[in-house]
Amino acid sequence: MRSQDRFRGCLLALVLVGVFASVPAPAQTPCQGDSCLPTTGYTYDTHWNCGGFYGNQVCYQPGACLNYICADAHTFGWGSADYDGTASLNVAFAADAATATAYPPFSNSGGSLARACRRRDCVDTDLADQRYWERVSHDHLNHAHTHTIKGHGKA
Amino acid sequence: MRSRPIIAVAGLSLVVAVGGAFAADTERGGPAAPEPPLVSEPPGPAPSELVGRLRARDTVDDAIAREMAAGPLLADGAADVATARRVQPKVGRPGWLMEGAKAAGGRRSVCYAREGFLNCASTAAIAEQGVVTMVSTRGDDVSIEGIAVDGISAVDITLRTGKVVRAPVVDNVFLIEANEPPSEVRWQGAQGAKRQSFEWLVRLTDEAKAREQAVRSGLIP
Repeated sequence: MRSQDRFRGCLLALVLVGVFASVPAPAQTPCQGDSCLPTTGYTYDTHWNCGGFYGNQVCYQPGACLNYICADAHTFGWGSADYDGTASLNVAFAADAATATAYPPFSNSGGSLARACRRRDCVDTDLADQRYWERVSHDHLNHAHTHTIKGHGKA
Repeated sequence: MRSRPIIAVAGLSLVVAVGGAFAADTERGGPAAPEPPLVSEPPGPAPSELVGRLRARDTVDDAIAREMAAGPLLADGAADVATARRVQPKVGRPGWLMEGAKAAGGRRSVCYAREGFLNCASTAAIAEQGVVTMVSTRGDDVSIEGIAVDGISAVDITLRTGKVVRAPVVDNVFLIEANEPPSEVRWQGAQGAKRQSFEWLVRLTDEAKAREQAVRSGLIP
């Protein structure tokens, strides 16, 4: 009986090894396990603003920049647009592809705070050829006032 | 009579010069026209006065996943995860409604978190409009969703192609999945018909798509 059990055990082990060897490893998973939280992987944290700007303008990271030409590109995986004033307006955040090989852009808008992650689980991937420009904007068109929308990005 | 053309040319020059200076300034991000002062605005109604789902009894299902609570959407305390209530729109992904962190002047807000996205709107704005619409994108996937106060049963979303889609409100939220941004959202509020235009977002989306194509084709290095 013992030798039979050993044989069955070895057979089961071989089958399991074969099964797991054929399962492809998850791609671009920075960490796994209970200690791995979604914030793991973000090593760059930046805040920016352009002072007040109008609803037909956009404000790019690193701030004081209303055109992508003066924007900085980073391997952003998360971004935020935040308005702290009292006007009733909607903010927008967007990350635009800055490299030809970048993943698709991502964005979010609505309310006074809008945040978005490139991935659904918000895990950072930090691949060198995945670079984005981040920008914030608001919908207060045809109004005399400018508004300050604070940008925040992580890469 | 002769002086009039001279005055006109001088005036035009002044307008062009001022306009040019303004454009140059705004390209760099300044000067900033003053924000309306942060005077004693009322904090807005309590979130649970507007959003019935936040009055519901807390259950085990309402708890936000640890990964989301500890992730970059919520880890800084932008919203109070202890008040979260799980919501399930008629179609699509579930999410969580919760009270936002109090802003300057004690202003209150309601936040809506779901897979990789978070939005917060002041209760003053929610009470005034009845609906706050959010548009989130990943590539060509566009989610048009939002928060609606009690008593609003549906919103009509006009896509940029002109197609109108009715989104029912369930658990105070609505959602449709599309591959284009909305041009307008309409609903029946307590004070009658309301609408919100998204022409600003359509313009930004078009500009971004054109720029992305230029980047991917190497026209923008």
